[in-house]
Amino acid sequence: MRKKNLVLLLLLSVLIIAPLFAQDEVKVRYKEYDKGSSMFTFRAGVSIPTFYYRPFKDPAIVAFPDEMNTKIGGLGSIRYQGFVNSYLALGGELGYQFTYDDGEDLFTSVPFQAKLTYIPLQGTFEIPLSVGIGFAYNSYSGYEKPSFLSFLTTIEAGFSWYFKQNWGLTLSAGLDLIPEIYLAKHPHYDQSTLGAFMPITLSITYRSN
Amino acid sequence: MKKQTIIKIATLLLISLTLISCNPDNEGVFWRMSKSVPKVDVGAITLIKENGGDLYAFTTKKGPLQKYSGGSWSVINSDKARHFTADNTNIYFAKQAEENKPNEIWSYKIDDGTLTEIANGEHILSMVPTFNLVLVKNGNNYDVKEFNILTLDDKESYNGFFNVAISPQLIASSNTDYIISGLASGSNSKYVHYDDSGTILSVASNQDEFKNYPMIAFAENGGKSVLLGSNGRIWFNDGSNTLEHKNTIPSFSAIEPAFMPYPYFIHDGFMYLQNSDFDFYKVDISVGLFEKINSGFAADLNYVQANSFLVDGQDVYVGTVANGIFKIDMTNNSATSL
Repeated sequence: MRKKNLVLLLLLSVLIIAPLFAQDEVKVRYKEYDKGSSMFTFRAGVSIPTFYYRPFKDPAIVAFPDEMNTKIGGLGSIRYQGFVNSYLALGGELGYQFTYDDGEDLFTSVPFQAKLTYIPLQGTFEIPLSVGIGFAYNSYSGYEKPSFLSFLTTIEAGFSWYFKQNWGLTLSAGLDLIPEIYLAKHPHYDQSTLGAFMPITLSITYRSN
Repeated sequence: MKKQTIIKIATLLLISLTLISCNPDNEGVFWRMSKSVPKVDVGAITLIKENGGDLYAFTTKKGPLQKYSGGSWSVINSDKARHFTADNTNIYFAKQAEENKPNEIWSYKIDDGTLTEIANGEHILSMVPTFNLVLVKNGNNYDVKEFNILTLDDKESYNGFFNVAISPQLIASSNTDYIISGLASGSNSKYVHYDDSGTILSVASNQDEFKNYPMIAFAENGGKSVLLGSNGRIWFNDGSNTLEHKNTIPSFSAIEPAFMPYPYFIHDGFMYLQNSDFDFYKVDISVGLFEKINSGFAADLNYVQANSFLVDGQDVYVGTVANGIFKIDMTNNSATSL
């Protein structure tokens, strides 16, 4: 009888303690956001020209700093994202990027893109990882002042610190890919180029959860 | 419904942006950026003379007469000189003068750097830097002269041919082959063009095209020659002085005002020039036909605008509008920045 009571006591203890262990595991995977939470972000920083890839030219790749003849520029953007679940936020971003080439001619790009951000670590410190896809309207002040609309793909990783519950600063780096594609009938189709720029930005975010 | 509206707006935005994107036939933007060249802070360069590797030039920013030696510029004379030319030993420069008044002329002796003022009674309108030719106005007449060791010698006179209100231009292929092109006497719209012997040039057809535009480039070789009109038309002279329109340089814009001489150079029977897209064209002087050059030095210089050329054997020096001086090696068909 005493032995039977001891077994019951042990089982009861396990049942009581088990939820405590389970609760500890949830703390590691802390969730700051839920579906419906949102973030509004202002970004500003530098844009480092990284490489131009010209598949029809030799050499096909010219890289920063010497071969690109393009200087470090700047960029800024505004971004709004809503959470589709606790870890994924989907939204849009509108930006402005500029850089000068060695001839002091100005290249500007106005990217507008859909942005998906995954935040595996959440709370006071966060690690947001983003991908974006969209378009960019690009202009150049040299020559005949040409402009062109292009596709745009971006990737970005950052580290955030929320100094208040709703306000945070993020330092991030990424890669913006802007393809300038000319079809075979274009007289300069062989100058089709994939332009790559590395944005390094500081951003301030307001989150509503 | 709301979703459809957003899709419609996005589609409309994309179509609008695509339509206002305008790079139909131009070179690639990233390609051009990767080939961009730093600007040189001396402004537009008009090359005058090469001597022992040193280049003498008129520059618009740093001072009129400059010497470019060993990669650096130095001012030789900062007077507000307007016209420049050179013979074998001296560079000559003249200041601007009031109408029908003689210019103040100075010579710079290349060997020892001596500056000497030259006695002058002429009103100089222009000089051709590379061919030692001078256009002088004498009342209603125009004379072509050349410097000969500190004196001006006569070459040809053009009496009563031109509108004296707007002076004609002297355009040279060499020290002995040149044309004078300008508004006809009594006309504000029709141009006349004379050769170095004072003979008027004419055409059998396309009269209006020939007379409505000034000639801004001229190249002669073996008795045949080509002329470039300010509208980009190439005129061929087989030696009969009755010219024929052969073809027209595409994307061509003259320098403003349109009668100003256009930068070009002559090498091995061809006239070379850039159009407004900085593309190089070579015109065969023997037949008056041109072809676009896509490779070699033309590709190397496709990103700079030439302001002047100076031919020295197989080397051609290029004074640019904003990017300093380049040297074309015609043997290797390449160009490098100096």
